[in-house]
Amino acid sequence: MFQSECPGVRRPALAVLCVLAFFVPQATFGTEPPDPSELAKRIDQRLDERFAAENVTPAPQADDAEFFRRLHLDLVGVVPTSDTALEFINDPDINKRAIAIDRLLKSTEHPLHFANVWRALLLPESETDRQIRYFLPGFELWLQQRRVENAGFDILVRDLLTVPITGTEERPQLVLTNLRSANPIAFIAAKEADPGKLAATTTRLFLGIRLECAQCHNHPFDVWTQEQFWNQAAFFAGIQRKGRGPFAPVLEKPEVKSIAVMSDAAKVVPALFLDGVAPPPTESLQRDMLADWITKPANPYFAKATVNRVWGQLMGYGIVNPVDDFGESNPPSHPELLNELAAAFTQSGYDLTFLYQAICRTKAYQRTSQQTASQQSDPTLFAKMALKPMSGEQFYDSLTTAIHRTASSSGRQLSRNEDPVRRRFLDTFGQQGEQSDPETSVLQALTLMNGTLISSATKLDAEGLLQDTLAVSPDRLAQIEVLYLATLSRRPTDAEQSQIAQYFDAMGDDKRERNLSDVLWMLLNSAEFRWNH
Amino acid sequence: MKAQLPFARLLSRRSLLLGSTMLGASASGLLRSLADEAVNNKPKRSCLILWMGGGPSQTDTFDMKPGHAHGGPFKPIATSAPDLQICEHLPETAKWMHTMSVIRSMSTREGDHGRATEDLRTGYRPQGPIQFPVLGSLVANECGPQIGDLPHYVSILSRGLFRAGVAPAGFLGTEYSPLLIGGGSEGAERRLTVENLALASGITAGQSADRLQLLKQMERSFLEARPGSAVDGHRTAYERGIRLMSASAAAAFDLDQETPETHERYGSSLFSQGCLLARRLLERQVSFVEVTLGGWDTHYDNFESVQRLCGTLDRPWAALMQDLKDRGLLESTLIVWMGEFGRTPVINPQVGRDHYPKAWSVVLGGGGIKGGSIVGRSSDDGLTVEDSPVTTPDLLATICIALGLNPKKQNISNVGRPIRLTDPDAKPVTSIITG
Repeated sequence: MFQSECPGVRRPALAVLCVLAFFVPQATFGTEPPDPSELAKRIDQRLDERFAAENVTPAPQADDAEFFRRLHLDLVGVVPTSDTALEFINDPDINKRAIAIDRLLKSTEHPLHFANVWRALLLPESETDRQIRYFLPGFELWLQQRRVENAGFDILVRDLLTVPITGTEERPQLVLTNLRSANPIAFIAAKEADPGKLAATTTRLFLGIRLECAQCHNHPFDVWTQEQFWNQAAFFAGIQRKGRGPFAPVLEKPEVKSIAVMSDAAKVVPALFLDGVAPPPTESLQRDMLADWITKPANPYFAKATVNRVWGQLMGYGIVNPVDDFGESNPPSHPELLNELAAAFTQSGYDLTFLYQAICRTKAYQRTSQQTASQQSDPTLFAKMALKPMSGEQFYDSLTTAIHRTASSSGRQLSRNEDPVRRRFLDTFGQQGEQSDPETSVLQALTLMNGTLISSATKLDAEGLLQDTLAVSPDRLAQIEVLYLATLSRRPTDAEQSQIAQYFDAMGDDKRERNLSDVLWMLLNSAEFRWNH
Repeated sequence: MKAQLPFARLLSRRSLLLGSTMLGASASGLLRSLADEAVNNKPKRSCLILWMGGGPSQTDTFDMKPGHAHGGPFKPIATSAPDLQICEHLPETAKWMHTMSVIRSMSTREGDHGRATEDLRTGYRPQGPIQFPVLGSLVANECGPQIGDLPHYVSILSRGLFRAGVAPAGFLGTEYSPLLIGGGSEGAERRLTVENLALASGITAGQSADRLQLLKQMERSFLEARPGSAVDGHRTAYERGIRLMSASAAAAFDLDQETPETHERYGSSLFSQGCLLARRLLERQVSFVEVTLGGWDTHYDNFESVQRLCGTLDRPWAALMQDLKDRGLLESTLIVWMGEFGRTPVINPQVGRDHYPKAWSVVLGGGGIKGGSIVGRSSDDGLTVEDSPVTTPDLLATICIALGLNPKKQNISNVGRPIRLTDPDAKPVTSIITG
């Protein structure tokens, strides 16, 4: 799917692969690859110690249907089709959960979902600035390719921070020359080629430190000073933009190695790493040295910040939460676990597949989201699965998968994120912020109750799930089961079947088809469909 | 009209089922007010915020520096307040300055859009896990449960305003989130509407009520097994959505009910429509309305942009003032013009101005505010505050008092710590509060 959508990318991807061979960390050669099962056990052991200490009974394991739907949403960004769900539920293999984890990580949809997740984090500007959306196909393609290769996360970060800027004062460089070329240059453009913005995003996303609050004054609750903010910005000080707007050409002056503090233009500070050390005096670009410092195994923040973010994505709550706010005033809930995760991730060569495998195999990830004891309500214990919001993409793709709506691709679009119907939906359902509780807005409720996407899917004469359901069997119980599997990825319970039977009886059997449409409307509006639980 | 019956049926059933919201809250409210009158903290005025997203240039609007190199090309003009001059590009607004006060000594501490926006809108600088509610949500919370079909808090054209990673109502919960109108889905015709208020074609009110009843019944066990704010928010969103679908609420958002003459006075921009909608909501006793005009982040070509933005701002703001006055609502509505920070008095090489929280201006007007006065003073070069600095908590406490709220009232936060409406160290600007 990924390859067929992007026919032009194969050769550049191969070329990039060759270059990449030089960057594979030496440490990973000649040693045993780390075992995700071992790490999974370690995670559960640490969480169990805390349950014992606090006398908490964790929630039981999720059933196969709940687990599989969750895994699908987390790894490939969409609910399973009813066939896939049924196949998994009926599979007698006792190792089927681990097998499914590996299979989904290798699927062609996983890199697409990964790219959506990281594009939202790296380019939140594209939510509000329509011009930046022109960069998305190339940017997402870059993320997808890196994920397909299972490039270490350090390589991805290095790519981003060291993206070549060849423009000079005389000949500034156009930033958007080929919409289809895989390229992280959008990062520079979306941050307006502004050293302060580039530095703030870099430290927040990759080091878990919110330094932007030190832009104008010393950090109120932590050790960071205003000068340190500008020390970080100085790593990007040579970058400039000629003119305004995201399409304006950029240039870089490697000789510019210091920057003026915003509130005091007379004070110029050099680039200094957060540990206070100055970069070595070499010919290299300063931001290259920043990338080296961030991604070297000895960096005290990078691995922790990354594992904590991935943990937060999968578990719905960070070990440090908010996931990008490490600091004295916001300690981790399980400090030893965080250290061990970071150490294992570093040892793996920052291997995201390894990290996903380990976390998804834990008892913790596989617990039900049902609360069975009140102490489980404390999210820092990880005693039940948290309710996670769906991103706009996850929800739209799940909705269209459930109702058997085929994409309205015109062929002119470079990526499916440009489908206008999808785009409009994303504008209403785009996530408000990150890693918080799922939130339903009034406008979302109105869209789901009355909007065209669901109202057309629940029309009796429309092609799609409803027609397909009627074609499966004339038996009402079987029809209800088809609708439940398509939307909630599970069979209905006996209690649900009998409640629905009562509804049909009360409405009268002559309205049978209308009643089926009501059931589908109900399922698509339900919280169980709306959330990743 | 035909839609009302089943919804009314559903809502009454809802209040019986949930009970808590209306009966419970009003009973405990009664007990509280008997126990201590001071606790009765309901606002006595509505609040209208004109939010200037991006940070407007004070030097080119309400705190001009004619004759100084920082001043730029714009000229000050006289206003209806004797000692108060403002920018020549706000001629209609100038006629209303006798009803407004300008604070020229705002001095705040956040220079990043996201952090400053959160600071100015919540009264607290972002810190760790505490989810501070925005002012509108705090006010909505003081109003108590929503009785009518319209919510307490409506935010117009505010897309991009709530992106700081925290839900707007913060620890108060989604019941106090704003209804967001417009900003992203207006389409090519650029008309401000609430989408999907009407039932889908072919769906009768009766069928809709049946479906909602089925939904409520079928998702109950899923929701009850997962208690928490997400579940409350989901229920609340559907309840509020259903109320909005009532004929009376839908009418409030229907700008076609205004005469062509009125549309002409306000103008046709989205901000104009937003101001007109704000007036319709204030007429219907909505407690907190905000309208955003973005684009003030003028790092480049500041003067061109500010002149254009003033053009967008001036006429609808003045039309709104006139309408509020004509309807006797000026005394019962506090009006606030503000952004997240000001802009550098120094003009940068791109003929722009950059972020500047150290010395900037906001405007307060309408009910509870002494008109025509100036608070504080910035230096001749505009770089520093020379008199009566006003911090974010000072400003928000001033707004609270003008609305009739006690800024020291406490709410319990998500981390279990009581948080006052505004920081206890706040020094409200009492000189401009008339009561």
